[in-house]
Amino acid sequence: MFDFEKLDKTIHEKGRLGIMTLLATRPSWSFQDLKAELKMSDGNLVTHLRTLHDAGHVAVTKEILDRPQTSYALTAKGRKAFQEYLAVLEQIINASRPHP
Amino acid sequence: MQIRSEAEENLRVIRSLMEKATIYRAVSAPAALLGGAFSLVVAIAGLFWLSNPGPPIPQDELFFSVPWAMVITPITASAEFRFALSWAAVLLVTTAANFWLLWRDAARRSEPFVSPGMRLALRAMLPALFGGGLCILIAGEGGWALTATLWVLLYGISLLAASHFAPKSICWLGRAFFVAGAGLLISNALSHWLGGPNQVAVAHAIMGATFGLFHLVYAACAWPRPPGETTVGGEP
Repeated sequence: MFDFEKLDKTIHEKGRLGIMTLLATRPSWSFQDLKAELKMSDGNLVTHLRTLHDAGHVAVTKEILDRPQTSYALTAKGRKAFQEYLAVLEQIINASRPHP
Repeated sequence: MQIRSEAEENLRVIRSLMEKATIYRAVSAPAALLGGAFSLVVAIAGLFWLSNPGPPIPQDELFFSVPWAMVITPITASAEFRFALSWAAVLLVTTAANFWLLWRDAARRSEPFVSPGMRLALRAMLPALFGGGLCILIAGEGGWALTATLWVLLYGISLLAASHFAPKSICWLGRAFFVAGAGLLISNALSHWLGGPNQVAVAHAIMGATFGLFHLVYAACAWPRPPGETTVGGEP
């Protein structure tokens, strides 16, 4: 029987899963780019980012280029947690595959 | 069964988001700086020296030369040959430098050189680049200025073909090349100015203004900036 407690509930939520996936693809993402790619409202995105930030999965970088810009990146802990989450999803699929 | 379909759905979402978000910079900023500077130097040399026909070769000198030299010398003395040779050198050096820089960046990130991003970029860009290579076949009849214009247009198309996974600066570079190439073609259709007697000099000017200046501007915009202040934990 599969232990569902292994699934990281912080990442498993659909909005946060999208954020973690995008952050895994590039070194960093600006808030505006994340918002445009995920089609989320500002409030929704800020709430999810705060949850991931508090869990230590996401690092925040504040820069002042021509205007202030906040960008987000996966921390080492976040990358590891995302990889483990993917491994768990694979386990679920393999475990429920009918045996020949 | 429900948890399995949920897991499959989540993996599908992850895969599709990752494919959409893959970003690949096919032209590195240092390579663009090198290519832009080299192009400008060649274009300036082309305008003042390379596009002038060589001095006439004395007949007696040709007579006493070995047979292959009798054929080769007039060709190498032609402005068209010098144009093709000098820009082939620019292409070779810049491409080699770009691939070396991409390889070094991939090695630093512990990623394979031929990454999925590079495969995606090559698949998108190669048809237009190959088309540009084929334009050399019409250079003799159509003229070098028109060939250079087609190179500008097709290079722009190749960059735009990669725009859905390229950074914004590459998209802008592609747009600039496309607009310049299309503008030159349209203006040529109206006044046929690309086929004049000084077309090799015009071709050098087109190459310098686009492959030279555009790449220098791109390098300035895409040059990596020092990172800002990073926080982990606390308020995002």
